[in-house]
Amino acid sequence: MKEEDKLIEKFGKKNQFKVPEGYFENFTNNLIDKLPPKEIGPEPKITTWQRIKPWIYMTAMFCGLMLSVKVIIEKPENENSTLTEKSTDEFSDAELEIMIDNTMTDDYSLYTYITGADNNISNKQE
Amino acid sequence: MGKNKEKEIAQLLQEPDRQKEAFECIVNEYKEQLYWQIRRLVFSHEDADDVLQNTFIKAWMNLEYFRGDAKISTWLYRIAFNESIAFLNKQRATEAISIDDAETTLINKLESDTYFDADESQLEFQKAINSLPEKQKIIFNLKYFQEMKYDEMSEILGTTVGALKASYHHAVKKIENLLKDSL
Repeated sequence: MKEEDKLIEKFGKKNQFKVPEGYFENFTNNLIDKLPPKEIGPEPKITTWQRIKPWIYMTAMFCGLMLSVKVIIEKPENENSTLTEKSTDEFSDAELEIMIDNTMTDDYSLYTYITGADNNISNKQE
Repeated sequence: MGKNKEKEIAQLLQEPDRQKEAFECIVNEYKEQLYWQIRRLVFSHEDADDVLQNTFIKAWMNLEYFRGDAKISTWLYRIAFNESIAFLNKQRATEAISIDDAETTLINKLESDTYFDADESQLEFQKAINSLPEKQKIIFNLKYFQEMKYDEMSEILGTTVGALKASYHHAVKKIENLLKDSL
């Protein structure tokens, strides 16, 4: 059973959007006519920055990964410690989303954790 | 597009005198699937047409930067989604409206669109989908309507499969919650 079965049953998957007659048939020709000419110039030079960029991004990602592991695993030493709360509060939703993407939790565990938690809640509500 | 055909097209793209021929094949192959993904984000046919043309023109202008190790479809989808989001952001900035108002503006466009042929219940469904954050909306549309596999989606969006599954799960729950009276 798929999780979206209720939605499929009620709304289906039929495309409700339409296009003018002949739109797709004429699209390619209309587009090709509009394409700017390609100038055959010299090959684009790869700068030093372009060469080192992947390494810098990897280093930044590794730092982010270590930080996210530290935040997720670290427990407060005492009840008054708000270090963990403060750390997570500092991060915006977008940053948290990036951390979630880069945690060391494997994909399947993350998925089952989230969906398992939801199942527990829905069982309690029943 | 089969692997062999894609390899053939990728090779033709490297030959300057056959580039246009190869590009025409690419446009014919992907125009419809890209159009529908764009349309589900921008709603209006005219806007979707503009964004689709911009997508292909951008791809044409940046053929030199297309890495042969990525699939053509992955590359095109990325450009299409970036162009769609840029279009929506520009529209919001031009009209100086908040994200909530932008949502309302889009729905108003949909309601008055002659190329949207649906009943009240389908309109409510689209409103619910439109309330999702942009990336989540894209994930929902790709999975629900196009039934794209998570692996392919992961390559396009640069997000892990686990995060995609979690995002889709939440999207479904949000929509169900919004429409609980209808379900």
